[in-house]
Amino acid sequence: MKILVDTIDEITVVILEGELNVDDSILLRDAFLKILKEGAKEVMVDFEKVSFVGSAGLATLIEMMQLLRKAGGKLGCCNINNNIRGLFEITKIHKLITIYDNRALALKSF
Amino acid sequence: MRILEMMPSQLELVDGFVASLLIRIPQLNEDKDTLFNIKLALHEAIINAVKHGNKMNPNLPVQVDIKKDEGQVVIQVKDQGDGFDYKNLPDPITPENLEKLNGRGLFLIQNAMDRVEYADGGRIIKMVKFL
Repeated sequence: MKILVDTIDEITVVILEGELNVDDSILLRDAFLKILKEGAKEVMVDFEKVSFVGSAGLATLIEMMQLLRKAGGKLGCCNINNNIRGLFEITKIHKLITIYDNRALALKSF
Repeated sequence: MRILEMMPSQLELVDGFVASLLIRIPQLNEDKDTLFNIKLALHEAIINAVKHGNKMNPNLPVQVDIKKDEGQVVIQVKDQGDGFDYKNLPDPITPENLEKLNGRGLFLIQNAMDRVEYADGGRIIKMVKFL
């Protein structure tokens, strides 16, 4: 998985490319801990180029949300395809992490 | 069509193993949603077998048996562990469990597949997807 981190209007945007499965969830967690240490408070994960998420990926997102909440920040996700959005909905993770249709809307509403 | 394969219980091998199995199931690419759901179920079942069944002992194999005919794909995943109480699984979407980091794998499988059964005290999970 490729992980690109950008900052737009004080929001940290994490752009993922590939699959969020077992190994890649560890990579995402490491990248996230780094940006948290650097002081990120508002983090948006862009899923436009993500084709698959397993339970390890969902667990990593929940952990990210918890750590950000503890730090007084928040986590959002955008550009999620229908299959992955379905996983967020059946597991009710969409009640913990706000999902935006696209990045522009996410950055505007965050 | 039938695929019978085994892998050692090493988490870092799961992603590649799943990909190598999916590519051998004919015509699965034709329906994106079915492919996603079968991939998810296979992935989660193998992770459970490696982590919870075989306790990540690389000397213990996970066995996968996939059969496909015109109407369905049947997948069996077997581990060498002690089994588990599959009749009393915690519900991951209750408020008290919603933020837990584990416990969603079987729930995802049950939602992704049309039929899920257990055998041999929970050492075998049988998953069916109608085509």
